Amino acid sequence: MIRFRYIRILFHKELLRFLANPALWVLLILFFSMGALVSVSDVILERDVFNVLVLEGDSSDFLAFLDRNEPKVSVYTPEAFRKKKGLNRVVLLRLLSEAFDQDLRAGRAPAVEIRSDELSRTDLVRFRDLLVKNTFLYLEVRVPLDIRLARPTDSRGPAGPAEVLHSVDAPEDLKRMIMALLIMISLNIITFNLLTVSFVEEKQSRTTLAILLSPARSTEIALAKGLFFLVPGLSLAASLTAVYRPDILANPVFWATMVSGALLYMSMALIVASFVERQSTATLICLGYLFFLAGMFILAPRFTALYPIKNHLPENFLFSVLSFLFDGTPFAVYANFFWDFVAVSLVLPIVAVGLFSRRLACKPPTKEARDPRWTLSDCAMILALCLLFEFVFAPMLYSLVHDLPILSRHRLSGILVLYLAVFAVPLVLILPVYMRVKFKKRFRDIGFQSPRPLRHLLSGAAWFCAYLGGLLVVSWVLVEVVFPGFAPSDFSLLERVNPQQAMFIRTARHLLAGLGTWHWVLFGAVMGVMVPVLEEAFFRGCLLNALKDRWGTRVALVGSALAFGILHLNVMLLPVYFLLGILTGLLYERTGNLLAPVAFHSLNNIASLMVLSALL
Amino acid sequence: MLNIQGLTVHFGPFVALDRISFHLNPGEIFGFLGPNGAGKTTTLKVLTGQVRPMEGKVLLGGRSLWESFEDLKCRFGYVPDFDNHLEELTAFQNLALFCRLYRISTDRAREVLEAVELIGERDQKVKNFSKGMKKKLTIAREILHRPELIYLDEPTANLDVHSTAVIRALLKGLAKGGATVFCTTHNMEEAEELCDRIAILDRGRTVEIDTPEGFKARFAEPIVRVTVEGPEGRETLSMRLDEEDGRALLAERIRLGRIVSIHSDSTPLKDVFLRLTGREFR
Repeated sequence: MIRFRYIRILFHKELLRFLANPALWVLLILFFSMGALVSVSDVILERDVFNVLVLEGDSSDFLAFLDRNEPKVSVYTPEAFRKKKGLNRVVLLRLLSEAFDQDLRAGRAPAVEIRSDELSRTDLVRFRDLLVKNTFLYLEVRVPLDIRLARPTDSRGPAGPAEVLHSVDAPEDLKRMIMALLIMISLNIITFNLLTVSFVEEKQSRTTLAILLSPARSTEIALAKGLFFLVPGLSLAASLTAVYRPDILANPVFWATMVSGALLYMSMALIVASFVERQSTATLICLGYLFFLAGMFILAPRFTALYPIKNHLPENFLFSVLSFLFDGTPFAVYANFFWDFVAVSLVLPIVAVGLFSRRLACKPPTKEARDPRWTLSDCAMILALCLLFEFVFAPMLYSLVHDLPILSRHRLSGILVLYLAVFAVPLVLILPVYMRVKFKKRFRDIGFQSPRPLRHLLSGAAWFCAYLGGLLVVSWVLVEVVFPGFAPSDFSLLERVNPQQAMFIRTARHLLAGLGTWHWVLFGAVMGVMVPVLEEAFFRGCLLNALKDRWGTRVALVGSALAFGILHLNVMLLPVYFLLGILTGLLYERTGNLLAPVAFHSLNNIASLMVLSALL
Repeated sequence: MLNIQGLTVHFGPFVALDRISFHLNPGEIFGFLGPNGAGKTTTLKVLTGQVRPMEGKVLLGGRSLWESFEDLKCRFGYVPDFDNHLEELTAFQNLALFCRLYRISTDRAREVLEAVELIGERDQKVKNFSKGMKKKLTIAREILHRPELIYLDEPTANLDVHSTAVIRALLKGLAKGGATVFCTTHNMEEAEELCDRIAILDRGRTVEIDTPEGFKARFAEPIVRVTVEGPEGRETLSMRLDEEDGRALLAERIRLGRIVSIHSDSTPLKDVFLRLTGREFR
């Protein structure tokens, strides 16, 4: 259980430390002023736009000509230049010819010297070329950089079109992009970098240890610090947004994105802090991550292999949603993307806090294997890991390997297996590892060991027969009395009663039609063995026991059956799954062993698979 | 109070603690003596949940430490051999945080600051404290919640003579009030003065457990030094009481009545320690 009293006390401690540390304030102010200056400044788009200050010489023709014909050059007289503040890329021009205009008109080449303290040699050459190639074919330009230009031999026109070296979209786009990047990075710096370093700093100075030995728990320590850094992180992001586009602050999507991002960063920080003991290591990791991020954002548009990686970075989500918000893209366009992000950011903190508190928890002896005593936090942890697998790792893995030929051949059956065993697939990995790590036991110790396994399996089968009998009676009543005239092939009834199930059967029909024998064998194995074993292990072995420890058998039966129903994600069939959950739960309670509910569950799945194949 | 059975800790192939067992009685000051690397600090780390033992049982007040660590952790205080304060806060702010965590009034913080003689520096930032002051603050923090059991890892290292006396008096007072004090040290004099019982630890094993007097009695050599007034002035003779000749000689001298003084040769604890561990302090 999380006790808010302790979170409040520890939050207050963070506040005191924050107030005592000027470095944090400096960082906040720096970031904010950078954003504020970007949002109020004019945007210079192209790199070869030059502000030319004419230092010496007088030529009204020349200047007017430049102004008129050369959009990349703005010409200033010394007076005008003094009034204009903050101009960059300034080129100083000396008109060396006494009668510049006359020389120009007469076709004699007047000489010009160009110079700049701000520009590189390359830039200066570019400016010179701009003057020479585009406009002033007969100018002799002397650059004080040891560049001598020979008079062009071909005097009829420019050697080629002016090369556009840098093309950027409209200024507002650039500003939008930079502001989104700044907001993303400021959130990253505060809620990931600073938080990680702060966690590890306290770990290294071992103040965490002192607090851990007080009544506060590691979960509360983690949450207090995480939530505390959420405040400056969100404030900075919000104030940067307020400077640029205050109207966005009224949009709940903005806040949801920022909070999700901060939660995600908090989880990442906790995961790093769980393993790292030294502050210098943490700093290096954070710095490395920043470099990695910069590399990904710069390189991914040009190197295709990096693209999927960049695509799955949390920064990519943050940046994209912020860009969508700034350019007014309708929410519906990116809703899926957004909800995925929110879902991950709600699940990952559970895993991270769990990991952190496990790493900091008191360390019992290795050899002492404890009886698995499941708690609700164990169940939440396993569930979170499953969801994380579903939402993050599986799609990531899929996007990395989906082009492999073997996958395309068996994709249909793969999709179906994943669909039907959506919850069991990650459990294959998670449950045995969890048993090993937490209880030092094997997977079968979760409740499969039995002195009389056959008896338990048979009792499960017997219960299933009774259940099937009841089901047949109910269907007979439904078909003969409630809906007379129903034919098994008639889909309209099912469409009316349970459209979701009808759609599933139609999709399944379509998918199953192209399957061979081996695929059916695979289905049988998955549905008849893997799914029942893992689902029973979790819902009955872990969840029911955890609930029972807390609230007694009745609540545990109902709670685990409800969770079992809800996680099958089928609203219309919820009562059926609930009933199944209650029955298997009762069976588990009666036999004290998971074999009986597994037998029941397995027979039920095989029966429904047979019905499905009969419908084909 | 605290019962440790067969505690074993391995760091890779290195055996840091090898099946050590002992128990602490309520209200006693228990000294844990041993050369460097004997496993004193490791024992404390296991007892505070920082190091994972291979096997062993620890019962605190009859309950298994590992199974109810969250409930039991408030019943002990732990003064480690390093300082772990929030350095940018003041001494009082540090203690006030723990007062709130333990749900006790901040008056108690003033009380313990007075007890360790830091009340004058209460509003100074901890980062400006000397090592000794930080140590005293740690002790103050760990007795804040009036624990039944206090673990101290070399409590008087780095302290001046006066502070050492203050801390020793404080620990004695706590023990008198019923708290159990478990303190590691390699200061023999301290162990002798402070502790009710002493365990001597070497290379991860408990070598002996006894009272300081017991140790001395067991390891003292039965020799008396007798100064007698002789015709050529005073002379000092050593007599072994475990030998017939020695006893007879002593009886005769007493009968003659020329004895100026008799001293028994008490072995210092240090020698006992060296004999038991067979090596010098490092």
